[in-house]
Amino acid sequence: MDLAVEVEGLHYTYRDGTEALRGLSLSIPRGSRVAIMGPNGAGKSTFLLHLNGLYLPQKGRVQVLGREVNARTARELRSLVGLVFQDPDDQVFSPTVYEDVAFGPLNMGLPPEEVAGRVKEALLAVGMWDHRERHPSRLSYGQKKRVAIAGVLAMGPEIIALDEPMAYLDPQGKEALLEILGRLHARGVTILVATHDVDMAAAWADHVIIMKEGRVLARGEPSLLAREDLVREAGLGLPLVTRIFCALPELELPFLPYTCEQAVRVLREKLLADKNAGHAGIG
Amino acid sequence: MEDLWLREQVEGHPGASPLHRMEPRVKTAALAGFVILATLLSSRTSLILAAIFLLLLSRAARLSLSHLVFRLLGALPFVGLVCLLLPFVTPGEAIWRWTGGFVSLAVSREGLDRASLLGLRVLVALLALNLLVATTGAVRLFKALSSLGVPGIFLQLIELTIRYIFVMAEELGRMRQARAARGFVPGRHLFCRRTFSDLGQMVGALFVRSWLRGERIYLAMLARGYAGAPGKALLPPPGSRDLAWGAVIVSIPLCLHLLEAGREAWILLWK
Repeated sequence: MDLAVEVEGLHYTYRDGTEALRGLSLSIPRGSRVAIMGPNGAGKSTFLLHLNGLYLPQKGRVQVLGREVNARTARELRSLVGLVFQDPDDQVFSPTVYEDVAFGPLNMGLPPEEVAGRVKEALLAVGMWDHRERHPSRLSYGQKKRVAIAGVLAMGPEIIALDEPMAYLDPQGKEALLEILGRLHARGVTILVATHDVDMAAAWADHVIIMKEGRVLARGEPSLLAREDLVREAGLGLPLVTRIFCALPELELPFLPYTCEQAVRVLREKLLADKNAGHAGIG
Repeated sequence: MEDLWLREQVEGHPGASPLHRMEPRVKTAALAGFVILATLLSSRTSLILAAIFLLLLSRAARLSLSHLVFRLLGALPFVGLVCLLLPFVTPGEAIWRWTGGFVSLAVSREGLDRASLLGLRVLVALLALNLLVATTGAVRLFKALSSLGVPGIFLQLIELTIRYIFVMAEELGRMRQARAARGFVPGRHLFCRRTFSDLGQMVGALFVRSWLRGERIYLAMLARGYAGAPGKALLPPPGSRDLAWGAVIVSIPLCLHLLEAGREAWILLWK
């Protein structure tokens, strides 16, 4: 299988002695949509910072797109892996939106025409082209977030990792973000999202990795999120849809749905079956 | 209103007047030249004339008088204090004297001259600076400075300060609100003990938060391949119209210098 990320026995301890990662091992296939879940302090953000060499493995190894992460490959990885930080105010720092998006491509040493083309494409992709001359401090939170994503897109990364992308966004902002992520995925970009939002993860991801105390607790399909024991152990909650069906054991379902689509399908089948049974009874 | 004003300060307002439209590099260089030449003037009359010229330019650029006064007042504590002390500490011919017990104060003519000259020079410099910033906007101004060869790291420091001052102000506002929400009422004056310690804690918390944010910003910059301050900004060459305007601005203090140098000669010629 073609892997985007492969991690083996990764350890990372901060200078203050906090052990953030204690033997993390995982693999992420190319072109997948991965939700990395876990409670606060599980090591999600620390892991993401390893992907483009901002943090280097203290023990164990990390391979990204077939390249070993170390001091030598770090620079190259910066343009292959885009990190979108949780607080857009940390990321969007330039005096204008346009210049901020141009920051990464300029650092890559691209010629001016290419930079201009990439900035325009990235700003159009997130719907912020009309705001290109604005000062970031005058933008709304959701707009800043979109500029932060554009700044990463302009570097043309093959992997994009977002830390808590849904935090503080209003419902429309969330929807716009999901749409952007969907378009990126369609282009073949591997997308990693670190989040506590089980509903978002259940609806959006095709892979789920649950972390706890710096290790992987479980990984697999999003159906993992419907397992109460696991979710409880990871300090998360069940998706809303699953919670409803948990409270309805009389439906005698073979599995617990975790997305709206699944719930609708299950209920429709149930309704049809009941209708047919009703007809049979009368006949 | 304030929001719009801030936006204008930062983003500029191109097209509001010929001065707004002027090429930022030429404008910066011309006004810098103006300040250097004008502050070297040695007579009050010529300095006043230079200030009047700048006021006329500000008027032509439709700058708000209240903001101008507001800015000048900001510099008053620094300049005012010096101007107030100078007449008393400069030795020379006394024109006013006050004696009370052991203390004797005298105002000297030389001191008054020096104070008024200093005050006028600072006024001219501030008027020119206000004109430059208000008609250019921070973004274009920094690009011009970079293109004129000011070191990138220096400009980046100022740019980041402007960018994050809003974020810090918002943070401070939220901290204040959170305190008020738990029933904190600040005392009437700074010397109330509780208010003072509260202020100290806020400043401390803000400092720690800003420091942490600084770390995160730096990480985020590294993540996008940052490797040191950016190089010179590239701007198209200025047009001849801009250069002509710049020459007009610089020629005013030059003419004033000529007037000063040849005052006796002028007077003789006049006769």
